[in-house]
Amino acid sequence: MFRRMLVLLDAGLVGRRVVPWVRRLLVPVHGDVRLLVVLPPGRTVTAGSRTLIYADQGEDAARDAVGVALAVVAAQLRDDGLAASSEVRFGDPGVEALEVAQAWGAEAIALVDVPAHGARRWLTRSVADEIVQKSPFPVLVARASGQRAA
Amino acid sequence: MRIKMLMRCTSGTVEARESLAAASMRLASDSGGCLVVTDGGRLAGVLTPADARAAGPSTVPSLAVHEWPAFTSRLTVADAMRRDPVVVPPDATPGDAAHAMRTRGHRAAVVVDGSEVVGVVTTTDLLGTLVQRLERATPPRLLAASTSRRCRSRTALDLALGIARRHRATLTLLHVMRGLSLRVAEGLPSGVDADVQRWRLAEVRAALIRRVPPEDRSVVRVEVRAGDVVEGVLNGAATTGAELIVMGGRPGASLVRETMRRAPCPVLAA
Repeated sequence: MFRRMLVLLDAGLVGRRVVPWVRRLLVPVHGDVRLLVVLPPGRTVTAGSRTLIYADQGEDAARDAVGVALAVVAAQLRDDGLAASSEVRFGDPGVEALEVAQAWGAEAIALVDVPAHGARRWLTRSVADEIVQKSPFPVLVARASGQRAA
Repeated sequence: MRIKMLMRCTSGTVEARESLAAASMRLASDSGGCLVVTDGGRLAGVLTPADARAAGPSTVPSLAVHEWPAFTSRLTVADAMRRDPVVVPPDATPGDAAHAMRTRGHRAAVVVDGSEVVGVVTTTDLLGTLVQRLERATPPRLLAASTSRRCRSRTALDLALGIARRHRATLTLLHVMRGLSLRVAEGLPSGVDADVQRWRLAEVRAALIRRVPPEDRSVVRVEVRAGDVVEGVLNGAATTGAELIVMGGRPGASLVRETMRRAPCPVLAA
């Protein structure tokens, strides 16, 4: 049975829908939760020959913005007796999530499957599919909508 | 749990003399569903969508559609808002806030830290906390769906049994197997195919029961169905009222993916 769970969230924290389930599964064993948000890598913005924002500046700003929302979720989990920490990374969500899970020693991964719409649905692969396929741990998948909450 | 963990950030502030129609439009686009009303910088009230609707024209009387804007444009936020709002500090408990709101018949409370408005909390937020507490007090209903007798399905069953023990949950072990292939069924004498199918179901059922430790058998129900696997799992989840499906299977298999997409509750893929 697992007691260390990695929770993969998105920038808009739609993935928060899975948190009540994580709480419900881990509170009885005083589990350990790592909240992870993976954002697209920052890009340097230039206007002509002038650089307006460097990639690292953009990443720092994005990290700060998401960090505030993550801190609230982590505080709520701590309030329920769980050990909670958070991390913001940049890159491919599937790859980064599996890397963090391995490095941190996660025993399960939780995430919300946010389906793509239109042509993207056929052209891209969902992060949930990728993680379920590659993960050596159990993966808890909730849907973004149309599903009962915990 | 404290209100500061539960509150929404102030989604908007509106002046009491502003038009109600404009405020209603802001409410419609605001997921917070509540505006803090100020009058000259002082906290004067709160405005919820229900308050705005109650102050507007009734949909029943004989006002023509073109008369509605003329009527509503004369209304201000002050005409609709709840004066003297419920004010709670960030360290109040949800119980304190719910008690104050219920006593005074308000649908929202303003969270004030010193003299600064830091957030709002609505009945919906408090209801969410209540639901969480109620569900924590109730053991969850689990459905362990097994689609094959291979190693992954066994892992899923063990995982489901572990969760059920830990949470004192009720667990249904469901195995959905495809029917006999047409080629096999056609080669059998009439009526024998049904007997073979019944025998297969009974054999799988007995195997599943053997997998459940004797001490857990009182809380575990075993069910074996024949037919389409995904439909079988989804029907099983619906009929047992499952709150979590634990499912084994080849990683990334279409059965698992399809179940994840259509399940009425979260799926734990093992």
